[in-house]
Parts: sequence; structure tokens; C-alpha cells
Amino acid sequence: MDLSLVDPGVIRPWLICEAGGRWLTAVRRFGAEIVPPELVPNIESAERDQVLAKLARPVPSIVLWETRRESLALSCDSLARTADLNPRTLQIVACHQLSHRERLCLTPYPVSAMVEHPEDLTRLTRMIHLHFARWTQVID
Amino acid sequence: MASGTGIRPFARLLDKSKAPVWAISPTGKLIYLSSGCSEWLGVECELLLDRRSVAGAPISNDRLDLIAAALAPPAELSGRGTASLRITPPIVDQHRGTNREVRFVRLGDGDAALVIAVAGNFDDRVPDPELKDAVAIRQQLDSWRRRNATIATNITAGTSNLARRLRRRMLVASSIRTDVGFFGPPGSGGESILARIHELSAPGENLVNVEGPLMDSELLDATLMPALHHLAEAKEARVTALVRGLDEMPFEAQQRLASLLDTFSGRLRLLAMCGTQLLELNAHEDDVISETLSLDEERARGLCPQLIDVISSLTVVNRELAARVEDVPMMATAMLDARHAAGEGPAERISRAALDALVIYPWPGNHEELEDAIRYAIRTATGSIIAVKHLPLAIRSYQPGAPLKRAKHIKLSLDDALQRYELRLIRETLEAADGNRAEAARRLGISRARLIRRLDEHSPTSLPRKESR
Repeated sequence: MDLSLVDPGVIRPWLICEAGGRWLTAVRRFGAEIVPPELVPNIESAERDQVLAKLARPVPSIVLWETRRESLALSCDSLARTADLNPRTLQIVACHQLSHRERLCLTPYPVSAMVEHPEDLTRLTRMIHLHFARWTQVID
Repeated sequence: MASGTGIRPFARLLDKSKAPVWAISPTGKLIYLSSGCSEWLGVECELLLDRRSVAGAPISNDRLDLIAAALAPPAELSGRGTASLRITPPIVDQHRGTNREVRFVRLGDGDAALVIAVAGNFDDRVPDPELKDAVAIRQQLDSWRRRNATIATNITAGTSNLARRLRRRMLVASSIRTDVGFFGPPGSGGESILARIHELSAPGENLVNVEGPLMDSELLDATLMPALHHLAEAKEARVTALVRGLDEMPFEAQQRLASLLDTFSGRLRLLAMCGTQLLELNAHEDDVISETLSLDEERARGLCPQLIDVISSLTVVNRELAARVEDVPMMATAMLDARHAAGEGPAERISRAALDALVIYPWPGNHEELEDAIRYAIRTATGSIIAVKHLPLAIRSYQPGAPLKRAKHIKLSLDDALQRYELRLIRETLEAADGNRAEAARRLGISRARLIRRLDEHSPTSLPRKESR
């Protein structure tokens, strides 16, 4: 069974932009548990440039950006552009060894949550449910 | 007398490297400055030679003396042997030297001690992020141990709501001698929790282990015989029965047990592992036993009404480990600590990658499987760190599947799914045939007209656009 057989109305994109596969594995493990049961997350890994292209459709979605010290400025830019392009996107930042000061640089941007380790994802369940519920009401 | 090799090649290399390096004599005077110092400080090095460079020493208003004093090591160097300092050189003729980290090393002891200093961009004072993470987990663990010194078992470690609730229940159960029912999936550590409760609430009291599923009423009497004799002989005697699998114990044996508990009214105490039924039947009420159970439901639950009354006095619930994902790193570290303290192996901490693997794994065997995994890793690890390669194969090779495989509750319309599948097949075949519809129809074994009709039916203009769920 693959996603092409599922009603497209219940599919929600969940894009992961990272170096390596730590967060893709984590989202594959916990993604289905933390999105509402009636929705199916379409979990994909994407390059930074691809993310914006994949979010062109105004569908409620989630993007997880892995942010490192050396890519802090790029991440800020991506966060702002993504919010501009698709305000229905919930943006999560996975902090890779960032100091408090570096995290503070990200807070002015539309970051909904910051996580540090895969186990932190399960704490976002309520936020993700509310995010999809809010945009579903708007669509209805 | 022994002597070193020539210093000139070394000095040449130092000058070539452009790194600011200087040396201070035992009398506190600058005796060497590399060429990098000139560039950094904005003055010729020769002008600084023989000037005092001692922290806190009185100096003149001469700007060169000020610069030399700025290069002085901190006072603690004499005691420690090494020191770090961030130095901003004084401004000289509009030249503003950059702020740099400096490392000082004392060579030799006493009055003959020489000081060597190197300026650069060092980040050795920033702790290794991996180590920082391990320290954070250990601090959480230490805090948990301090707060829960009495009931600290590895299973209760964690910061999740479920861990907190479990600890509170255990605290109550440990402070009073009463009947306790434990509910949790297999491998959730019920036995060790009940044993700990017994140890704390009734230290020194006799304990009888009973295998619930193997009992009938006669066998139960035989198992409890020594305890019953003891209770009959002395009025102050007290005994605890720890029953495994109470929900799988035959009803007649359960009723016999309830009758014995009633006969010795409180002197015979029940600590029972009651399976997972409570969670399933009262998921919304968590561990509150419903008062409106019908007889059939009681049988479905596997417990007779009299025993439900008994264990209603206090229940302890531990959910499956997969529901306590955020506690896994702390529990694993607590287990490792306990085994390391018992001298089982050299491993002292778990690498972040290994912790990630433990977090991702779904733990069908719950807490006991985690305990087994840590035991295995300790035996396999040869150094002080447990890496992914030291974990059991099932854990280190686990890859979570696509979420759809687990989302069995998603409703699928067969007609819609078939339509989508048909369309996908047609599109793929069309692509393979370079857009040639006749060729695609031939490959699919249908007529060209049918293929075109299908494409028209499924085109975006003919399909209602579905956005809402």
C-alpha cells in the first residue's frame, strides 16, 4: 500500500531538511503517532531549495529544519521565506548543538517549536493536532 | 650536564607561523615575543623585551609597560600550572588589537619557573556537545535520585507525566502496608516495583511468591500453607503474598485467595500483578476502577469481584515503554549506572547516537527488554562509551516503516483507491511509451478510446478537488 492509494485530502506533507538521516528516522517513527489519527503524514526528506517548491500548494504541512551553527543564517532565511510562501506550515527547528544565544537568533522568525533530540518530538503532539485542526476549520 | 637541542629552528618556525607566542622569565620579564605579537599588538617586539609582565604589579604610564602588563598571566597560574585568559591589547596609535584567547603554561617549579603563552582562537573551554548532553542527562538523573531516594528504581526514572504518576503511586504504596494491584503490559517491571513496595512498606515481613496462572484452590492452599500456619500460630504475624498473573488465575483459586485474605483481615496482604486489562477497559479513566462493572465484564477482566475490592485500595499502573519515549535516555542511563556501580563493565555513558537508537526502537518487550539491551551493551562495550554497535542487533538495525503501515485506522475507499491505482498505471505506461496513447493502450491491453476516456474522467477538471479531511 502506498500513498497514491490514499485519499489526497487526508495526506499532509511533512518535509525534513537535514544533513544525514537522524530526523527522518525519528519522524518516521513518531510521525504517525503525533499527527491526528484521521490524517496521513507524507514524510519526505528535502533539500533546502526543494522545500519551498514542495510547499507551493497551500496545504497545511510541517517542515522540520535541522539547524547547525554554520547554517544559522540560511535557516533564518528559509524560515521567513517558508512562512511567506505557505502560512499553513508549522515550522520546527531541530537544534544541532546550538548554544542558547544561537537559539535566540531564531526566535524572531516563525519557529513553532525547537527540538534537540528525537524523543522531544512526542511533546509536540498537542501542538501538531491544534495546527491541523485550525487549518482544517479554515478549509471547511 | 644535559642540554637541549638548538632553539633557533624552533624560533624560526614560531615566527613563520604568525601565531602570537611569548615567554616570561622567572623574574616576570618578557624574554621572547614571536613576530605574530608585533602584528597583534601593533608595536615592535624588541621594544617590549625586558619589560615587566606580572599581574597586579605596579607599572608606569608608559604605553609599552601597559602592553607588557596586559600580556601577564593570571595570578592562579603559579598554583595551577596552566591558565586561560582572554586578552584585549591596549590601543596603540589607532591600532586596536583583536580580543584573543590566551593559554599560559608554567614550565618548571619555584623560582626557576618560566611561563610560555600562546594566543589564538581556541574552543577547548567549550565542552564537547556530546559530553554536555551526557552531563545534562546525568544531572536530571541525580536530581531524580535526590528527590526519590526511597523509591528510586530504574523504571521510575524520567520526566514524563507517566513517570511522575508512577512515582507518586509508589510513594503512597511504600508508605503504608496495604493491598496493591499492579497493572501494566508484560515486561513493564511489575515484579520489581511490587518487591520494592514490599521492601519499603513492610521491611522484614515474610513474602510468599504465587504463580497465579498455575494455581487451583488446592494448590494455592499448599503454596500458602507455611504462611497460613505462621499466621494461625501468632496473632501479630504478618505475611505478604506476591501473586504473578492474578488475572490469569482460575476464578475458583481467586475466590479462595479472597476468602483467605478476608479470614486473616489485613494480616495476609496481597501484592498482585493484574495484567493490562485495566488500561484497556478504563482507558479514559486511566487507573480508576469503574464501579459499574457487570459480572460479564468482571470475567472479561479476569478478576473476581472480591479481589477487585481488595486491589481497589491501591493500584499502580505502568504504561508500555513506547508511551514513555522521553524517559528512555534517563532510564537507560540509570540502568547503566547501576550496572557500572556493580562492576559489570567499563562503560560509563551512552553515546547520543546509541540513545537515538534506543529512543527510536518501539520496545515490544517493554522495560525488561531495555534492561536486557543495556546488559548486553555493557558486556559488548570495551571502552567507557556505549556506541550503536554495542547494542543488540534488533535495536541497532531497526528502521521505522512508513507511517501508513501503522495507520490501520485510516479509512480507504476501495473504488477511490482502484481509480487512483488505474490512473497511476495509465500515466506510468504513457510515460514509458513517450506519450504515445495508442502504444500505451496496446501495452495495457485496452482500447485507445478506453484509455482516453479514463484520462478524461480522471483529469483535474473532472475531479472535485478535495482539500478538507
